[in-house]
Amino acid sequence: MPGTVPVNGNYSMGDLANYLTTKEQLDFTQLTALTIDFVSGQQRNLATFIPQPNQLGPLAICAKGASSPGTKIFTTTAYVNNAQTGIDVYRLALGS
Amino acid sequence: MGPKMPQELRAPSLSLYSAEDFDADVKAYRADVKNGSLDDARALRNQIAYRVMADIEAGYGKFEMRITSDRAVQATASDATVLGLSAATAVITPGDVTGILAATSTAFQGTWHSYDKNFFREKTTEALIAQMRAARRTKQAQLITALENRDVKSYPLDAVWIDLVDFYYAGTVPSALVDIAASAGSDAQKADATLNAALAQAAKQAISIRAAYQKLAAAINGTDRAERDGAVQSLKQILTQIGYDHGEDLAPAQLLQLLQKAMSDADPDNDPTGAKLKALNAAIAAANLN
Repeated sequence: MPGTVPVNGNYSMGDLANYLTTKEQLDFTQLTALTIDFVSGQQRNLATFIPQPNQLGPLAICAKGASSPGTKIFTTTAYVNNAQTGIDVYRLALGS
Repeated sequence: MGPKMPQELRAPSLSLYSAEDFDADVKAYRADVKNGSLDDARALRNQIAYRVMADIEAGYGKFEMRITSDRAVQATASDATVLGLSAATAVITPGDVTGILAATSTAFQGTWHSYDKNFFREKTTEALIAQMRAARRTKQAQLITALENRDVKSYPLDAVWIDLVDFYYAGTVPSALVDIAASAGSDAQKADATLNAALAQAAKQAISIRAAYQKLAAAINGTDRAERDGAVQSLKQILTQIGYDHGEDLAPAQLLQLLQKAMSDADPDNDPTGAKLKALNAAIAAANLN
């Protein structure tokens, strides 16, 4: 569903990318932001999705500055494996 | 609790291996090695090892009986520090050779301080005993095999002693706790690997389902009547298979909306088990849209 939802802070980068990809594909949405949830006091993130009628390629997440295929869509800091981590979020080509 | 033990078995072993006897045997062993009487040295080595093993066995049997039948010990077990101390000394009979064994190794000194007390409290006496028995069996089998198959050159008494120390500590609660903790860590890693695989599989299925949706939507919104009719049939088949009632009079666009709802219902936040996603993926695969 479009909107902002809490996301587990103990996912690895790969798990986080797969989780967000699954939500995008099934909910007809597009990830626009991923931030630490400072308000809840828990080690978790907040992901923001907007409606997207077109199918997008899967997401990939890597450490900030590391190289990755695809197009970088944003850089952020999020909880990864329960630790605040600088990450780059990439959009891979559909079919990759 | 257990049956009454025969008088003959009540002694710690056939004859308690005193520290004096032990010292004398070790001296004789070293003399045999020095003189080149390796067969005699081997026989003496094995005798020393089996006598120490017998003492450890006798001590362990009593120790196990005590921690299973005496619930007071279990009450004490709520404090890892106290149990660590009692367990480390439980099988030692002062004056016999197991006392030397205990003094030989400092492997566990201080290690029990690091246990998470909450983790410790969850361990039942039965689980600890099962772990101790398993570890002891493994160590004892390794010891006996080595004693039977290796000469004093490749397996001198000093090496035997190291294995005896391991065998002795395999029958202590701290050792069992370490083994259980290691096993729990391994299980946790397996669980993580399973989670990774499940999330990767879910993403793959979601992409595939969404691609199928796009294809059906393109056919339904297109101008080719045959393609449109085929897409409607496929949609109905998919929805029927996953248990969504579509009726007979729903328009193609409404069928698409129903599939969209089914996809949303399969979102991992709505269905953490992944069962709906799996069923939807199977239904789309069965529709053979290619």
